[in-house]
Amino acid sequence: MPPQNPPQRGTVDLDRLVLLGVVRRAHGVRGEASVEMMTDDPARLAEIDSVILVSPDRSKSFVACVVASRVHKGRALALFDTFHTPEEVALHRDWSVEITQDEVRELDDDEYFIHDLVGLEVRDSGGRVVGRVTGALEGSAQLLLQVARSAGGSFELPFAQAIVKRVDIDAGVLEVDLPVGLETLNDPEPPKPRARKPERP
Amino acid sequence: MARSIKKGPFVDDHLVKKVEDMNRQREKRVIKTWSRRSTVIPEMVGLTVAVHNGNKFIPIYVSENMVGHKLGEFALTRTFKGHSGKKVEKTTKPAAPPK
Repeated sequence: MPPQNPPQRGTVDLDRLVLLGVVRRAHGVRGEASVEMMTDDPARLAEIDSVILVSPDRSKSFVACVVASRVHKGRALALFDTFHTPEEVALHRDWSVEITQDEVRELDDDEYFIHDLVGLEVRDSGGRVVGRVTGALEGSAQLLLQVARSAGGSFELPFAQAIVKRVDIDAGVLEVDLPVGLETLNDPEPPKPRARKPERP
Repeated sequence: MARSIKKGPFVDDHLVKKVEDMNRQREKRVIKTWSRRSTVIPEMVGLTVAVHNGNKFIPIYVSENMVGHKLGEFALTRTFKGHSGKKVEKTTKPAAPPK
């Protein structure tokens, strides 16, 4: 399906772009680019007609059409209309492959973009503001949200239905039911009072 | 090498005691443990276990598909740079509660 609002050359707002992957190296002699995909699905490029290539320092960008794409060893091999030789691809090494926000894929009911979770205000079921999400770590168990506490310090919050009760991206709120001890898990414990030696008779 | 079935999964006794206490009290509290070598047993499902990674405790919400693995597998010991809010088309779903 063609994108509803395909990006026009010269009208790209870099702040409204969403990253798909990064051009790593040339593949073969036909000008194919090996793209390290940051998305959930490495075959995502096959669903997109045009992308915006942005330089690492974000000073240059241009629109490129995806002529063909396939997955090879976990990476996407993409043929862009702007590259015809491996040398042209090599000049664009580490450039990011991005799309506009209108073209991001649709989410399921309880699915969220990780970048949308960052910045949400964390409140407990009683309405108390616990803190704000400052980042997310992908562990081997589940996503861990890093929360900066309002009272200072930070803690990590497992992104699980039993703990995160409600996510309201529009209102910017994450309602949680914290287990006892999670908030202060890595806080330094107060020093224990030293036991006095019994006095010698 | 595989462990003999007749021995059953290895779990440190002190951790089993904490898990049993927690399930008996039906309290929602984080269990702190240094025992990375302990196997995740079905009694732990639905609990939040904080596993030490050598530097700090990593909270883990134990789900059914973790049973049989070691706790240490879920608390990574190496530095990992996470997502800082840069817009990437990467999604997540909250871990489902046990059925």
